[in-house]
Amino acid sequence: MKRILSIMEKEGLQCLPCERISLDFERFVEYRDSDEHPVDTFFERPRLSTPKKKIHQPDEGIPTILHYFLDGSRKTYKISDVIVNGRYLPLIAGQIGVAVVRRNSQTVEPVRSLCKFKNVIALPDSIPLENLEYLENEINQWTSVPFSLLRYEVKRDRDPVDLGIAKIMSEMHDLEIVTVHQMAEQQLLANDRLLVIDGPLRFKKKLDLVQFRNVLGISKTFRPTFEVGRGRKRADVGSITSGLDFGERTSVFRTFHTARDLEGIIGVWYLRIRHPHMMSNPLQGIVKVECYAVDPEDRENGFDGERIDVISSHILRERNVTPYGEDLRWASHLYPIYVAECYLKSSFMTNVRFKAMF
Amino acid sequence: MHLDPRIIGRVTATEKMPTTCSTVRFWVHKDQVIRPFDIVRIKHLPRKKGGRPSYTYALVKELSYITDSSSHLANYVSYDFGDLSVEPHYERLGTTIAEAEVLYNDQEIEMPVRDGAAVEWADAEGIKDALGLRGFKEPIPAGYMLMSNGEEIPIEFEAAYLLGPEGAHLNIAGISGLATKTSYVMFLLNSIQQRLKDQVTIIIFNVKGSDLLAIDQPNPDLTPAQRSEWKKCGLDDKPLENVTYLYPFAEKPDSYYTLSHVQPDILEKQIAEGRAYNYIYDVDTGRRKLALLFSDIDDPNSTMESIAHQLPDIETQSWRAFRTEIRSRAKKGSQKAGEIPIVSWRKFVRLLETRTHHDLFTERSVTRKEEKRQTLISEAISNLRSGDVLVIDIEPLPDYLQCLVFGDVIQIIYGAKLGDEENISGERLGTVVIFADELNKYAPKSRSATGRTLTRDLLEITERGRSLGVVLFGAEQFRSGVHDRILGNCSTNIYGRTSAVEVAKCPDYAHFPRALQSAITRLPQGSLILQHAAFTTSLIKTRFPYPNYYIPRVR
Repeated sequence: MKRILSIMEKEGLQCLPCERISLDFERFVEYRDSDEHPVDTFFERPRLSTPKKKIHQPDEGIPTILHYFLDGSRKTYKISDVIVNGRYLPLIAGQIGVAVVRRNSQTVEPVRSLCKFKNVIALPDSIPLENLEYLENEINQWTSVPFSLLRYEVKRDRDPVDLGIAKIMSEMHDLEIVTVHQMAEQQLLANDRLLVIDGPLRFKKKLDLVQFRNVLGISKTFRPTFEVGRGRKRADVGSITSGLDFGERTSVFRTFHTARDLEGIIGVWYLRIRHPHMMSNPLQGIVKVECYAVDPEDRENGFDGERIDVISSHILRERNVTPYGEDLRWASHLYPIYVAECYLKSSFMTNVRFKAMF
Repeated sequence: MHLDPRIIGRVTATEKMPTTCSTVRFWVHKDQVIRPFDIVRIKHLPRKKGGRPSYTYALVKELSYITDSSSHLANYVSYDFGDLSVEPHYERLGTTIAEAEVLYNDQEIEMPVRDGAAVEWADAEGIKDALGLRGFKEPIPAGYMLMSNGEEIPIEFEAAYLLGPEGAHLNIAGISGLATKTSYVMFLLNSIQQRLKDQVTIIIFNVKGSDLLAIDQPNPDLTPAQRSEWKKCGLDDKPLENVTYLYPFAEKPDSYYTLSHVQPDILEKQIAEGRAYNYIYDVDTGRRKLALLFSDIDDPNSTMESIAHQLPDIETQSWRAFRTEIRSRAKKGSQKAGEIPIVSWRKFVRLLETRTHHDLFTERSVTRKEEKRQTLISEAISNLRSGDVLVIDIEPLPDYLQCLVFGDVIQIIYGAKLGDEENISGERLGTVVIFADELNKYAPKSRSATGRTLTRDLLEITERGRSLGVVLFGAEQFRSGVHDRILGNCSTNIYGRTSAVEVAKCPDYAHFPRALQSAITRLPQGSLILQHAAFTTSLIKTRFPYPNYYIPRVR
């Protein structure tokens, strides 16, 4: 086995030695989600007469409709600086993975056929594509685990390290999308067998929405600083959300997949799954739920309120057990997502081993 | 994917808890049920590259169940902050972690086992190797091990380490009332008789009811399943053979001249077969043994002991004359300069009169000899041959007389082995195994006890007896109550159920793994922990067959 940097250098890429640092430091930002897409209108039929609605947890005997849970995770490292066309640009490497866990009565277990892991190296796009393919082949001949080489776009006003990380994140999202497609093709998902994805449904790609019909995105952190409606009917979503009591949800609001993709309509609502009096801030214990509007009726007139109630009640039932003490976002964390996250992280190589491959 | 059904878990080695040469941890598959003392085997490196993998055998010591919960508080929070009516929708991620002691590797690899190595149930042959049960020259069945997967492995002691000359003496401790200590020793004595019949003489003291007064009678209640347990150990389910019984004499014609609580029909049968006698102490024998009669008396200046040693010089024909002579020595003016003070003589006289005021201290009867069947203990022992068993009933006697009889037997046997007993051939007895329950009575832990004649005799036997062929099987409720040097000389130690206080108090339990310290307070009837010099592991949990002899009710 050869070290990756020595292979690259042998092939003519000049790599400057530097401290190999891990780029994953998680800061808990209470109202994170800076690129939150603004909502523009109420999106529920019939429209709620009050700003919030009480939801009741389904009885124990009623089977859950939340069957699958998907989480993606990454570990990124700055390994070296490479000199391309006289510029010092970072070589960012990473481990990415997507895990799907399935509920099995009271336990969750990973669905191994749907779990994916990948080792990636992001290099600046000033390296020609064919050179990259050649390098990838060379590296994979000499290493014990395969690597995929990616190119990040170098922009004048952006930190190239962030761009490298963003490229790796994008690759991870692609893996998530592939996994959802795979599940849809295998007909694993249905109205009463939903998939929950950790985080917002905010993939930066155009999607085949039909395959996302039975997919929910549940976010633990968000910033609901929007207003909907006009005139006297105008409502402040942030105030409604922070005023939710245990088991209450807001109305569904409308937003879009991306600002440019007006086809991808998303319904978003907020649900409090913990009693507010034990929380440390107004939004702790609230989850943001997103769902694509696929059927013409939904797209036209908003989501059916009854369906939203059913989904909310099943999410409410997911609140226990909790990773309290292990994750600062415990109050909004769904345990299967936490398990999927643990599974992914324990499946990654350790930092020491990964860095040693370079 | 094909999964080998034998695999029950995988080794886990972490930064903080690595595997070592002596310890390995593994997680256990959720459907598997294991317990401490199960033995597993773990796939390991081959001795030569590319060769057959080796297997490391390990004994499970501790089991723990861990979850991903960071604290108890996290679990409390998971019930909506302590709401008892809440049923969480998920079981926490958790698994059982077993900690095991590495015993052996079949290719002598001593490298720590690797993370992720497959853990399987061990095979019976491998377990024997792992426990050091192979290559015994004279194996003595000692029970069987029952693994959680149903596998049964016979356990054996090596005779050379149980009965000498390499090691000897056995001690068994455990709380009473579970019928475990005595039953186990009786099983082991039976096992010794079946395997080494012509080499061993057994002397048993009965100290409880009539428990051991029909040990040659088969147990009529033995079920086929209980009989099969004897077969599992490689033994016949027949009771001990060639047994003679000695009962304490009493002037009670209607009780066959004995104080014993033996069942009359059993005694009649024994009498008819010529195997039951009543022991006495005539004055000639008794005066030589009187030091043993005061074993329980606090005698810091050894004056009582000195007096007792002067007594053999007093020539009398009866106990009455003997007492008169002693009384005269305690009279005013009889003291000579430098002799024992008269107050000590007076104390001695008082004790002597009280303690010899018993039917046991009598002269040999000249009438109704056949009915009284009187014998001296030394005579009974002189009639023994290797392969014989002698049961001496001391249960009806007060403690001080029990000490006398026990000490007397010890002295006779030891004397015979040293050639000091004229009428008894030590060679003809072979190895003599003496089983005494309530050993703490004869050799207590207290420092002052070391000076007592009986304790000294027992120390002599346990320290030097193995080379002479005198072996002590002692039993007691609490090891902490027995003299350390006696316990220290036992090459086989057996631990039965005991109390948590005893575990905390007795240093002998300190080396037990924590799980075992707790488990030993709950050991079920019929289960014991064995420690034997020839085993390669310190402790083995074993089961043994149900008693195959008749245990009569108390009359």
